[in-house]
Amino acid sequence: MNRRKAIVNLLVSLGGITSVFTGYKFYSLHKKPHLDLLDRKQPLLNELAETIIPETDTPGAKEAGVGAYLVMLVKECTDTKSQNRFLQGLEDLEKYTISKYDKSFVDCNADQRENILLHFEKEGNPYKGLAGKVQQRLLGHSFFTTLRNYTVTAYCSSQKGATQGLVYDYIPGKFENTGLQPGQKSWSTN
Amino acid sequence: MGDSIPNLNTKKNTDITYDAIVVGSGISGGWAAKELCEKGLKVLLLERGRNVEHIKDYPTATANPWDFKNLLVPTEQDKRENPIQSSCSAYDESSKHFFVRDKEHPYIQEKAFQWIRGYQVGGRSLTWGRQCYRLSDLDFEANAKDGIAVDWPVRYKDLAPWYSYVENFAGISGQAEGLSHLPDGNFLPPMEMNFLEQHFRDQIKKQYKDRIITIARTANLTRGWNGRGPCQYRNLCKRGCPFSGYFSSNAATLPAALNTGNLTVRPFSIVSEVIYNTQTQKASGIRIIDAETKQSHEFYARIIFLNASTIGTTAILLNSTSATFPSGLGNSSEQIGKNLMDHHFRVGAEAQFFGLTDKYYKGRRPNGIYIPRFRNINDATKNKDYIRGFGYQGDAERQGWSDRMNDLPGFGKNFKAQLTSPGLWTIWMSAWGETLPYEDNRVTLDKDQKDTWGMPMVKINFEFKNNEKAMRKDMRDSAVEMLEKTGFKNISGFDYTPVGGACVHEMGTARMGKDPKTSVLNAYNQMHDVKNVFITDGSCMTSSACQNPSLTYMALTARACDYAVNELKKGDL
Repeated sequence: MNRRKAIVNLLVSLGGITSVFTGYKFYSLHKKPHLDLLDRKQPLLNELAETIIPETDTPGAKEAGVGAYLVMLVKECTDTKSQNRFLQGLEDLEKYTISKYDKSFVDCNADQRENILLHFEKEGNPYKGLAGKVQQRLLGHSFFTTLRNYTVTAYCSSQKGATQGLVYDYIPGKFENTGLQPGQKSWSTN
Repeated sequence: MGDSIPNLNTKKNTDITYDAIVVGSGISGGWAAKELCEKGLKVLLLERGRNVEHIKDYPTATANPWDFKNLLVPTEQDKRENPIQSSCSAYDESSKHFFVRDKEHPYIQEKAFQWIRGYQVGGRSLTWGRQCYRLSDLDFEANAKDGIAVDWPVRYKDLAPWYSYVENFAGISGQAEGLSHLPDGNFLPPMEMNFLEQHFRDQIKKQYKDRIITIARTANLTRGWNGRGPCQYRNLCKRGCPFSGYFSSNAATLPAALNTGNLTVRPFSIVSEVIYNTQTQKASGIRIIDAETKQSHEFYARIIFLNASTIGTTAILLNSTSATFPSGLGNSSEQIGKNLMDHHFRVGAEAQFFGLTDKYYKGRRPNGIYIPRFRNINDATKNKDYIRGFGYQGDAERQGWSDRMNDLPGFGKNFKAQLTSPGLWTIWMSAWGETLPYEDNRVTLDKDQKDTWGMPMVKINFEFKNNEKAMRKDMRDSAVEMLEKTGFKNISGFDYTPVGGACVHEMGTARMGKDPKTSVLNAYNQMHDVKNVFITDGSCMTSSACQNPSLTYMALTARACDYAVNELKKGDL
């Protein structure tokens, strides 16, 4: 079976499953998301991003201002389904954190933060490969995928991330084939 | 006009009579303006969009990624409001001011067709892909040999000196390879391949007798050239280059034309029609609608060059009706609007390479590699399923953060360390294929629906057909095979069936030909029916070949200008 056909078939069979929870689920994915909530979540987003890209010998996501970028990216560059999943994911994460550690994420220590994100990473990727792709098309990106990819994009495009976390060559002037230097970082722009 | 526009002689807009009028300031219109001005003609250049002054009007040219509000990530609003323009790979937050707003410039898609446009001085020469390849007699003889459409009225020997002429001014970097079906040009030094591209080139040479890999031939300057460049290897061409490192009308032809003192540019001038004089049997001038005031104005000239882009020029011709030409200016053949072509592409393969782990590069080369056509060159390379052929463009690179973020699992320190270090080498190669001219792939005007300026809306009916579909299978399979034979791993072929127009190589709707009964233009791009009208944009193309076409428009334009001015001098126009 060719790849395209396989996707179509999978869509059909998943369609059967998804129709069971259509009603509420459809509404919760397609409703107008409460994006204003995001502004208040910026401190939390900064800490989540910092857990994904922590400070090492180079700046972490928080120092690079990723929290504010995440608010912008979710508000302006994200489809409605993924926006709803993201907002729902943030709410779930806050509830999970309270129930598990009896405090908010920003008050958790590094190990606790890591455990919380591990939980949501697993939850965000129930299917591998093709099934995962179909799931993404139907439901939008998972909370964790959106969080992680936007954290990476924002960090690597930010001034701190692009120039210190990676190497930024503003005006290269020429093209050269080179060897890989010890500890070589990759270029921040293509 | 609101703004004062330095260097454009706009004060002379009150003048209404010129030696020549050029419609459109993109790649071919810029050349027409330059050539005619340098030959001493007083030229009026009409452009429907705003003025864009070289460097000064490139607001994003030196911006860093973090200077952009959305970090160059596409916004939902943009995708919603500009679904067509934003589908173009050159469109993003840094370049969208060089594309039209879809809402302001609607057209009718009888079948899906992405009409990508840049309405401004310089047109799409600001955002073009800059690939420059000569056509050859394999292309010019193809229609005659296959019995398709009509024969080209020119052969390579007619165009070769003009290719050289335009290359010498524009500056095209490339490597001479001695192929008769992809003739060498007058090249500036070639850009350098990276380590993996060199490996691929060497392995292909070992594995195949019928094909080679060369560095892409592009209008990027590898050394200072005619006061421009050189390229600084930033790979931000689509924003406009503050170093004049690549060819655009704004950087190259328009400054040369202005230098003569003979050029007047009139932005915001939407051409509604060419005015035909029944007595002289010539065009007497051009009627425009001022885009800002919506007032109509007329300008007169002895010769007219239409360079409004393929579909734009077609719309002007079809709207220029008269008693003599009830179906459009110079349309006694009824061919105007027919035979619309666009290259078909977005099919090929990508793969990973596990070696060369200690190699890297510095600088962002604004081009890739090119695999010239190797199918249906001769009997030995004949394919039984389709006629004509395709070339591959591609490039190799080490995965960066944007490639790695989707593959790397986890988060935290280890994730960060991997994310920020060079990943595997990868390669991407994708084919650009010839599309045949079909009569029913056509542009017409809608009688009932009008745009903001009262112009009838353009209607496009286009589809790829069986020859293209059969070719695509080979385009993908051959890419996979070449990567398999040269040491690549995790190879995956792809075929993202494209919508017409997506390649932004519209061609063919006012074709050249020998016979006035079956073609619109003669061997000098002169209208068979209206001798003082010349058309040298993509609409003149009799077949599409598989090469990126702009260099051919440049050569045809310079040649047509030379012919037109000689005819003027002889008193024949």
